[in-house]
Amino acid sequence: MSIALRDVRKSYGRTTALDGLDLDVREGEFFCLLGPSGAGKTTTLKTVAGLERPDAGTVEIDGRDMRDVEPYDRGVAMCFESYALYPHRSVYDNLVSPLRSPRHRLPAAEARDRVGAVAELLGIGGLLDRMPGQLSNGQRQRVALGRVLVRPARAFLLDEPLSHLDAKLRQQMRAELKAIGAVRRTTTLYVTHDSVEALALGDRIGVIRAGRIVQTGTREDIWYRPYDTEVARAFGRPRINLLPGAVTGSGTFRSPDGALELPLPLRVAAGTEVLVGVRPRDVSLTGEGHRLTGTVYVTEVLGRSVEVTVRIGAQHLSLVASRAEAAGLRPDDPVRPAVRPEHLLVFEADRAGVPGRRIGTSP
Amino acid sequence: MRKRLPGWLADAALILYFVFSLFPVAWMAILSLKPANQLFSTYFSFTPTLDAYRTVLGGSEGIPFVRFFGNSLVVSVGAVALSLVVGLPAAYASARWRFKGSEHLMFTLLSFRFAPELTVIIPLFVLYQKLGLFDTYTGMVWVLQLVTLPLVVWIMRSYFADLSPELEQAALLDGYSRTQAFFKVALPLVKPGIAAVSLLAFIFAWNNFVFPLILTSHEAQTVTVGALSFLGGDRPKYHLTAAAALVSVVPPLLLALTIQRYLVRGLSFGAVKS
Amino acid sequence: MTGLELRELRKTYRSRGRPAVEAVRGLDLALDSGELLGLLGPSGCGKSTTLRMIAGLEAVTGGDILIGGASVTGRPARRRNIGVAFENYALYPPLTVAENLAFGLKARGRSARGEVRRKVAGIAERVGLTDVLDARPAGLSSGQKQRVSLARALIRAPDVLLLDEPLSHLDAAQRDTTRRELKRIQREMGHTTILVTHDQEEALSLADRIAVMRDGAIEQLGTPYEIYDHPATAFVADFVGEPAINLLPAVADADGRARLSAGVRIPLPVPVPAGRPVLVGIRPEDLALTGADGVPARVVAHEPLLESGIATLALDGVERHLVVLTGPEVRLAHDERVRVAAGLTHVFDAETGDSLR
Repeated sequence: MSIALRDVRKSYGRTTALDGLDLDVREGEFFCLLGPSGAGKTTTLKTVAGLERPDAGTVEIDGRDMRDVEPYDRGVAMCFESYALYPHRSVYDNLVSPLRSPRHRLPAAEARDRVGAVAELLGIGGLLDRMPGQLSNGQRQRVALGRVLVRPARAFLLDEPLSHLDAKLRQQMRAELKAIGAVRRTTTLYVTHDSVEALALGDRIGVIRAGRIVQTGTREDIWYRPYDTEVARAFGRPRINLLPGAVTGSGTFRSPDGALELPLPLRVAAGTEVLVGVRPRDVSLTGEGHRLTGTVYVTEVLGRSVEVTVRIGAQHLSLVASRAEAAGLRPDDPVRPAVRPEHLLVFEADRAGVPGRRIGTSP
Repeated sequence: MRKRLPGWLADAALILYFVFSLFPVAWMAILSLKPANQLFSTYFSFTPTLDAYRTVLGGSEGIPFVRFFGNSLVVSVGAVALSLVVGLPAAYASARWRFKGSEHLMFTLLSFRFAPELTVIIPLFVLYQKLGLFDTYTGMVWVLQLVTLPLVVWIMRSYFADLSPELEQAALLDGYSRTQAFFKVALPLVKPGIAAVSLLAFIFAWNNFVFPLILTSHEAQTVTVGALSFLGGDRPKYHLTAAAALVSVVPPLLLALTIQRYLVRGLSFGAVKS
Repeated sequence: MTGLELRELRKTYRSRGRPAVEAVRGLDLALDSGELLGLLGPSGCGKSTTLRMIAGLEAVTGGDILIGGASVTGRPARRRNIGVAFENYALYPPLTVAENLAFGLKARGRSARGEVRRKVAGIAERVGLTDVLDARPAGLSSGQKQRVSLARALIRAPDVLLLDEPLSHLDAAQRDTTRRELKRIQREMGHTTILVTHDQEEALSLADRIAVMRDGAIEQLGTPYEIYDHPATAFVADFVGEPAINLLPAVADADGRARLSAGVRIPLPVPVPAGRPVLVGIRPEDLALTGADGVPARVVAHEPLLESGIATLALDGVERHLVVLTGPEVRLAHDERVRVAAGLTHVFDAETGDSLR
């Protein structure tokens, strides 16, 4: 089913949670809502589920206004970040709960098979007799996910379902989530603060900030054409380099101390204060491109590769090199990193509290 | 390391406190076991006898104590039950939803507890006479709501407030109605609270003195007032009063012992946010 | 500058009615002057206890601590000349940054006022706190607080610098910049340093050598490359690296290959007696999707992360999935059939977890 939010507003007392939020989730897609805590992600989900009533604006599901539709009549299943497992019931009873409700009731034997299948899928088959209090956070999170998958739903609403898992289990569950047939077929609105999760899972990604959607698009849209510096900073490890400076009369970029000068991939008015963004993996010590002159600030091992931070005048530029390229590099050694102009992103300078917007054709 | 008292000193202190706090109870027990002629002796003489209990329970003084006892049970249980039926949904609603005036409403309810009963007792007496509620079970159960209902609503409200609303929201999305979410999810989780508040409300209802004193005469009179009727007449029969009082302690005591397990959990569960 | 040596360092916690807990069991470690050593391990492995014993905040059960060749084991904390930067910063809230920095010097009462002011200004300049010297800790960002904490440890020119999870409370942006600053400052000032951390990424990027600890003992000591490329045990292999190494139970075959299942065999890097149960370890970046040769596999999921991709593959009859790092351009569909070949392979004893290399 499709979900549409139009100019939704919601505040709690003096705090504004949603500030005119517009969102379109298409039939069958996996949509990731990415944002920091307090951005309004959970409120958005609960508004779609009908657990929160918007102060203004409309929520439409399959084109129908949901204003007076109760949560249990919306056909959505939600996984809460707090798990919201019933503490007084066993894992089995938690999982079977939707199948005993008046709306999704199944005969007991069928319900048992269904729960068994979902528990198997999530690797919690051995825990069915336990109480939620006896489980680890990772197990609880999987039970919460199981309760969502166990019943027919026209859309899944998942609130940070992997956030409490350790790195390894998170990676594993991310892959499993992607592989689950029901998830691949069903419209899913997935909330996360982890940009890797958003890239890994989302057919499309919506970046939310202070109760508004800043940018919506495919992972490529957001990666190659970020709306502003904050979106650019949110994606990629090591993080994007953002170098402050201004555009010269000849249309190049120059840092304030003049130590760093770069050709720009597009025409920007002379004198404009800008931030030039380049991702560390797009800068190389040996490859083609515009050469810069600097000295090694620090080198850091990243596993098979090495992150080299180069000091160019007062600025730092970090790049990812192979171990061979970085071998023998010591602090203060001179280096000449190369940057290809087509890899550069140009942003307006950040102003107090307002991240600079990208300059160039919009996506 | 903190310095601790030596074991024997701590034990001695405990025994001393034990003796001090149990002395009045022991005195009562001894009094109830005395024959009538030893009541007023100035030196300690004690020939234990169950005469006082026989008299009180047999009703031979013309005072139907067993019936008073039954009245107390009916009235207290009735008052607690009614308070739970009315108060649990009220507590839940007030914990979950804020609406205009909801805080005033809650405060008004609480204020029933600070108002001395004596301030309302005369108008109530007149009202009860006119409505035919005087000296009836219904009347007593009703008036005791002034005592038990605020207790139930205020204590249970904090229990419900400590429950994450997401539990009931999850139930809504599982396909249950709001009413079912309340009965199937919220209510079972506050069982310890219900046990604690039921006991407290029962004790308050059982021990209430002013309402039965003024609003009952014979049919619906309760033990608290009934026990004192042994003090009337030509000379006060303290041993009978003592026996009656001790018998009347039994139900709250039994109740407390049977639900102690819930009580300990209950009293801390509501106060501490997990 | 001076080195640091730990000899047979032990710590046992005894409490009445409970079995004794051996938190640190005979640690031997020698740091060269100016070296930055990362003490890496999961929580409860004894790394923080070790740090507290070196700092003199925790009594030693057995063994010796030497700084510059002289034992300091019997000395109280204040007479060891060790600087510590704590995880939670441990700043005095009512004092300004400058006062916080001066506090340690004044406590020793041996510096003249002008001297103190000069030192505070000097260290503040070095760690980039000059602008906030008059601010109070509450008004600082967490990155700034950590720099104050570091500056306070450095200001009295300690013989040894101890860093206790210095970056764990910083957000991602501040962590990157603070980490680089920290490394640069340590390099320039040349303090012998121990960094305690549970974050393998932090240890790899900062340390000259890493000691991986587990259950109170050192599991492996080596440079970041040695730890990463030649893990001594399956535990080290598993703890270091992201995404984590694939560890697959297998049985050694007579022909020098490991049998993962009836149909899946992988060449072993070293000869292993046939029939021996082993764990085969392959890092996700050491696996490649190949056209023709290699083991057939089915794609469970592919996550295109744009800088790279992570494919989760199912091998015939093998219970554990295989995680493979793919190139940024690769896009794989669910259930697609591929072939995968391993480069650098590790093999560990299935029982003990020791590397069989």
